[in-house]
Amino acid sequence: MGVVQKIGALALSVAFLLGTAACGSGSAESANQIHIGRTEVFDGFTLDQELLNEDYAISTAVMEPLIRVGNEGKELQPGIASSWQYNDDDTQLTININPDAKFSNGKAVTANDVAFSLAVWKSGPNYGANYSSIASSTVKDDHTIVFNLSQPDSSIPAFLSYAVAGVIPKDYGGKSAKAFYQNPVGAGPFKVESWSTDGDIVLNKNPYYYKKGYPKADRVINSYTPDSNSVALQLKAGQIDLVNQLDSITAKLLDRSYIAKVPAHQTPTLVLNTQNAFLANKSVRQAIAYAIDYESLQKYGFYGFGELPNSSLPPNLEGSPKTTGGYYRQNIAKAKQLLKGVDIPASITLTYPTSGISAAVVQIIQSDLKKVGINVELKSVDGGTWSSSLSAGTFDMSTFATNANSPDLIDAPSYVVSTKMLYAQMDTSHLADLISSYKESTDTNAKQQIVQQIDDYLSDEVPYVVLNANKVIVAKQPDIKGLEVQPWSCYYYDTLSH
Amino acid sequence: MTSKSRYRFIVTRLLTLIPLILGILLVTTLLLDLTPGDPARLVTGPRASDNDVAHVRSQMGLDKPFLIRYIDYVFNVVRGDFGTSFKTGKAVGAQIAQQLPITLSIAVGGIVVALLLSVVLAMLSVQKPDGIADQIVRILCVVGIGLPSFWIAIMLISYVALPTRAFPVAGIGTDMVTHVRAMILPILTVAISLTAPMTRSLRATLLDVRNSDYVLAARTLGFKGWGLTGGFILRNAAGPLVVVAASQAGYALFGTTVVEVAFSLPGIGQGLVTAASQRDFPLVQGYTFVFAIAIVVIYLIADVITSLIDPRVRIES
Repeated sequence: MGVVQKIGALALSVAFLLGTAACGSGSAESANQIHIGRTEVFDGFTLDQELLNEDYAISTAVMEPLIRVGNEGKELQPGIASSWQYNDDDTQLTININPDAKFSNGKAVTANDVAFSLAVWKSGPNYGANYSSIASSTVKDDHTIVFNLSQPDSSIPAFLSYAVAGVIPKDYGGKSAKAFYQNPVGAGPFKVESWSTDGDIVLNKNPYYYKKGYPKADRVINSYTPDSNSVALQLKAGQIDLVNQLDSITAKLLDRSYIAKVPAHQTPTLVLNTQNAFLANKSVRQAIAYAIDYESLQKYGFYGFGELPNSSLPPNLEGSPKTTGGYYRQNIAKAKQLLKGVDIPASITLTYPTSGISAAVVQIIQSDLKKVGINVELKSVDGGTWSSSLSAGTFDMSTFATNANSPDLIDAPSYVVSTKMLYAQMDTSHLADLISSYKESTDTNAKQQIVQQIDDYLSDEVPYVVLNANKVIVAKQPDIKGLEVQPWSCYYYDTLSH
Repeated sequence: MTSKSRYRFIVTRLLTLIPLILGILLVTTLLLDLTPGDPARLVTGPRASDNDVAHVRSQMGLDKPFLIRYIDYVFNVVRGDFGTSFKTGKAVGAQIAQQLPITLSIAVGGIVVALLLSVVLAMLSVQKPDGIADQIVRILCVVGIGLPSFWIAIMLISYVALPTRAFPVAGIGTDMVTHVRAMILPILTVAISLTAPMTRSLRATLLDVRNSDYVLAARTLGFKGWGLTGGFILRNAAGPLVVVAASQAGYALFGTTVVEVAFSLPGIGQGLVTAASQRDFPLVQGYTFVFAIAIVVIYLIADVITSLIDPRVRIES
């Protein structure tokens, strides 16, 4: 065979292969499979290290917590815990475990498993403080456990609905913690077939799931796509069924029919590092808050999504407070007045991650602050550097987004305190006292007032400026049913179906 | 060229891998150290106390002096232990083994398709120098060299994958048929990027060769058209083509990073980008090691193939 003939034969083979592979259309996946797209790397199944809303949804599907959240995030509902009740002085919380609850290996969930899980949650460096008021636990019988509290704490049930409080087998099922989290076993609706941080997470139905008739889908695949435009294209191509936390720019590319109506909110903020001598001055921080044009930010930075901010706390829960007297709106004259006599440095830096917030937002902030004489240098860094700088406090100003993660109003303030005012490095003792008062109280009105005090305090001190009240954007195929998104953009996988 | 001297050449080149890899790993480890961002903090979490972070840092071995860490790593690599990912706890070697086939498929597939395309285009071009076909090919080459691979990827996604739905827009799928379909556009992306420079190079070589004495002799003996081009001209131009292909292969291998990110394929390219952003040192070092070995081996193979094709090439020990 001559060279030309060989080349021709090879070319024909390639063409045949192309033709064969191009046959068929759309996805080869089954109808009872849900394919979710995510633009964030998965942090893994180690409970305390889950940091992102997408992590929570995946983890909950495998290692479901004791308590579920329902009714659009307005109430706690029974799950693995069929019921719970406080004693008379609120120093003990008794949890009754659903006798139908089983792990994906077929073993029943017992009180000993919950006791072990509690110890794991408490030891976590990130979320352990949420359970610090649980001094110990007492196993009454296989399906009853009592949490003994060091002080009354009405928020415990809400924190027991957190994804990071997943119920796991005692002693990690006989494995090391590391080995367990490579292939976790939980009592959630799905079990893990395979996973990777930057690839597909494949979950199969847990045949022992306690909720009869659930999960609705046999399989869930959660795929990572680093580019949010690509995720939108996958949705349009029918390759994925659902994508969570789309950014505003990408959402604009999609037809409105794809955008799901959700109550979710996320609060983007401008964090002001109070360790910086200039920003340590409260007048300066208030001046910055007055300098920002929130309407332009919403229109051009967030592409019209969301609402103008009314509070320092995420507004995504029922009963969320509004700052007394109203939250900041642009007032250049007032900003300049607050800065009178203040020694303004040549420039301060605004650090932001390359993904997660649009460049338009920081450019608008830069332009607004220039009007009051504050020169801002924009510093775009990768996610790892940005996250490290936040934790280490090595920044002047930074962007950050937050939201509440449970139906309890104290959730967001607790997070603010645990992060030293969203990394603004400010003293938190006053807030911590208010949070303790809240947790000790069982009176709804009193609790509401405490949260209002917290919000007013934060709005006055301005460790961070709330930029917008964003609606987290969830997009889905029209045939997807059972999507019940909570106000922190999490949803349970077991209700999803075509 | 005897097989003994070729064998000696291969062994010598493989031995030069050792100082090269050691140097690359040293530079990589140093750069990772100097990059801002604390891996221990990123793993432990932003709300962990400094004590917790210090404890994790110690578990990761990051509290040891740089040279100690480097030497430890080298000794472990020699034993075949590439460490475990800071983020996932999975063995780096196993993770790379899982991802490597995807990257190799894209790179090798792209090179093969590019070779085929460049041969066809170059041969078309030299049939009639300065003719219409030649001019079209030359224009395509100029345009092709200027096209960035991520742009090509976006165009293929937007104008081929999306409207036809014949290829996945992103991802690799979960079954073999989808795997195959998912690789086609990425391979085409790499091929398009490589075809232009390879075609230009091959065209220039073919034009030189077609004016040589032996070709003139073949023409005198009655060979013409595709018979002359394929049997005499192309065969003698293959040597330089292999060299160009080898240099482009290195480019293709690194270029798969952009392609994998564009198509969301879980190969080592995308893995490297993710690992770097997460400061997952063991993974970054592992990927770098693989890339370094791959480049050296590619050039070695190219040299050997060239010596096999062209007996005039002497391999110097």
